[in-house]
Amino acid sequence: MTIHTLPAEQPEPADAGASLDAFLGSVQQRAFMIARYATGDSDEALDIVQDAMTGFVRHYRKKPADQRAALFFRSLNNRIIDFHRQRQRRSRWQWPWSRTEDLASDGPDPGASASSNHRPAAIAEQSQFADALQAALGALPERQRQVFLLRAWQGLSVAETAQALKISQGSIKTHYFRALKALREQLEQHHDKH
Amino acid sequence: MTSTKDAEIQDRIVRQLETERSDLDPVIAMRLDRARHQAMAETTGAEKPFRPWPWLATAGAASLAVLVVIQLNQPTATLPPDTLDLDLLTRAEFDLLDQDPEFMLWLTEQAVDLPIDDSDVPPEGSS
Repeated sequence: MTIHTLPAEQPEPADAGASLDAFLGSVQQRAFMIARYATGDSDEALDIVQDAMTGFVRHYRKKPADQRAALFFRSLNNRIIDFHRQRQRRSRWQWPWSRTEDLASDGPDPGASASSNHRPAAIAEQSQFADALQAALGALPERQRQVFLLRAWQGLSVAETAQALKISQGSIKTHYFRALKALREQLEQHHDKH
Repeated sequence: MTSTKDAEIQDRIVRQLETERSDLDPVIAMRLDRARHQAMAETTGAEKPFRPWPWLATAGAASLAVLVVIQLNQPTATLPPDTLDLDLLTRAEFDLLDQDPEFMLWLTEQAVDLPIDDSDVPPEGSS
């Protein structure tokens, strides 16, 4: 199976600072969506992406351009892990009633489905697929979803994904295979309509 | 044909994700741009010349504080009054063998006073 490498959102100029800025501009939206899938919250996702970009610029800005993607997504992954740790710690020390409120506030983010709300009826089928995709991606285990999005969507190689997530290349292949299988099982019926 | 199906479904997913990315809320897109500019400001901030004075002043104040604390916690040199006799015994010049050998000789010749075991003696007036 071939993995499609998508074109960057912005062209990359020659100057180093502008090149770094262009790189971040090319990954920021996908990074935001990956973080939103992980957190279920747009504001948290924005904070995570900002932290990841700051950390990346601070520590890795002098790294070669071909290592940037893996290092940036490693930075993003670290922030996502920190977010989950903090949430676990917070929920451990919360009273039962405040925990219920927290779960309610962590529900589906209005921003996450904003695009689907504005779709005209003519593309209802696409909307159905979009909703099914949201649900299917949301149901995947964290690691499988990250591997799938980085490999299939961001176009990172197996080695780059392994570097970004700090796991072995063998594990990347396993997670990717399982993620694709689960997505196929859940989306096949929607996909067959087209 | 699973592989073909996998490729098809993956293409569809990627297309859908790209559609959602391009339809991203403009407010969020703007906030992302702002976050990126803030992150890029780190590159100019990090290349400022290193100024040691604030660090030196902080280090100096910390050292002074440590010295004061150490000085205040120094143990006192004087011994409590109850230990004066014991102190005398441990001194090198307090040696009876050198200072008073006659007394030491006499002391060795004295019978040791053992405690008297009087359990076999009947109490007075019992006979």
